[in-house]
Amino acid sequence: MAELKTKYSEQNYYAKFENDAANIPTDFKGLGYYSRTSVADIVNSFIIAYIGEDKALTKVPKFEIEFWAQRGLQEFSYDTLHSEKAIEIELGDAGQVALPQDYVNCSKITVTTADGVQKLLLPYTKTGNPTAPLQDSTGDFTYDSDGKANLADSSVTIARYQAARADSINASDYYNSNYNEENFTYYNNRFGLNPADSSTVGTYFIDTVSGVIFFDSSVKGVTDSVVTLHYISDGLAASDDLNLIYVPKLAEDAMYAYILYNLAKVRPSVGQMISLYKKEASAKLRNTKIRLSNYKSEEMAQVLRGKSKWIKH
Amino acid sequence: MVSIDNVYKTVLTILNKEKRGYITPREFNDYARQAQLEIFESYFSGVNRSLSNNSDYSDTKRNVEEKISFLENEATIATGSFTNASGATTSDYFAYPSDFYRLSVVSTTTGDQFIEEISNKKFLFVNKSPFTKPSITSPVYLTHENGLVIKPTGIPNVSVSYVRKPSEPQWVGGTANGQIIVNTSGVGFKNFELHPSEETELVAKILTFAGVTLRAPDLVQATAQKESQIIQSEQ
Repeated sequence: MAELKTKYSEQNYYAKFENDAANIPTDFKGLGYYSRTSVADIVNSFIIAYIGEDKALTKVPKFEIEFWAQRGLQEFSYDTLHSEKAIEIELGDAGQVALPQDYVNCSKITVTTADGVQKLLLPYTKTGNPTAPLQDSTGDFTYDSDGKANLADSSVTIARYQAARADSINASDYYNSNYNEENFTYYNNRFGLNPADSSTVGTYFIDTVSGVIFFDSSVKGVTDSVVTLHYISDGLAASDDLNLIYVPKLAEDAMYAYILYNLAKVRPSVGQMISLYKKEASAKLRNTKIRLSNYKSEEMAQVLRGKSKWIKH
Repeated sequence: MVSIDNVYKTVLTILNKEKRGYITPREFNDYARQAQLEIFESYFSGVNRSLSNNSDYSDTKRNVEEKISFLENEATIATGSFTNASGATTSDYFAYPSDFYRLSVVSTTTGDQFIEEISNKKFLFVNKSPFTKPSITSPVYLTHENGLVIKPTGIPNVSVSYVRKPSEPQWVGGTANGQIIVNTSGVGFKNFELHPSEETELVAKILTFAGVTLRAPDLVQATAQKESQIIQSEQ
């Protein structure tokens, strides 16, 4: 009788969920583990299926396959897998947050309101945190004993960005305070206002050089303001053990195709098959994106019903 | 296994029939050792020359691999250090077993992780890449004098699959009532550690060596032809 592909008995699998400590397997991989497979398994399976005499590739070192498997996971993490992470941080008086260690790119930043709603903060692009050399009274740079310019701890630009602005009054307050008092002098005073720059929720600026996110006064001034950084990582940060790095099974075939294409493209002897592998990798990646997007016609119909549309499913 | 007594008696029979003289057990043992080594070493180049097919018994490549498998072995070797003649010490060193001849596969004893071979030059680059840096679950080995160096540090034991050296064959015996009698329980007695199909080639090779010693060029020529015939029939 063939061995079962599932790893645990039913009782062992549900033991943790049911607080049955005596039956929790020591190597328990977590509820829903069957939906994913480890990178180590993918590498082993790839060697079995693709490497050898009379196969796609004759001889490839394992570390090279592991390299492309990890590169594949990185690329997939950026735009294919549902790998967004979020970290909730209480904003201190400084109005600054350090980037997480496994940060690769920001997805969005929100501020949490008193009723638990996450309001979107917009990035502010018209500021920066330039290097600020210290200058003497004549405007000349000052230098240390090694001849390097002395630098200020922070730039004036970012300090002024974070400082409370005199004109930081939101649109509704501005309108009401004037309209209710029959003061119509506000007409044309805010002509040409850019909505992206006039959010009352607040803005932020990510300084990738120093690895710090700066928030403006409308966020940092709020007591107990809690911001949430939604970001993407590369899928590899959790462990250096490929047995503990997982890929959704819906993306497994695309991983094989990605590894095969990249190993083949650096081996000219593979010849004309490279273009086939490239097309295969591209098609399988597309299929994976469709699979993982998880569209369900019933859910879509329900959403559209809310829009007063009639749709059959 | 090939019976050394059978080979010895066949060799003597052929030599006596031709009235070419007699080779002593000591001479025979020297020829036997040399013949076994030559045949054994020829397996490793023979694998590449052999053709493979889908048959059960005449897949020549598989047949050569089967002959090698007679001497395949496994051992667990432990970490240590190696000091060369000038006093330089190498750490993370794993010495080969004493009967080691050729290496097949190296794996960790816990978890059965395959350990990849890598050259010294390649290791310098692989060790610096965050993707390929060797880890406990993806180790690599470098070949070293009479052993291996396994990276990363911290692996206490590894399992090696290898081909061992065949033991030196030795015929032990004497004569009684004019008959040559083997003493299989005699000190040092050892049969050939080769596949039984090698018996004829062993006889031919030993006769060639004997022919050189006995200064019989026609014997050397005849046995060399026979040996070549055997080798060709196996390919």
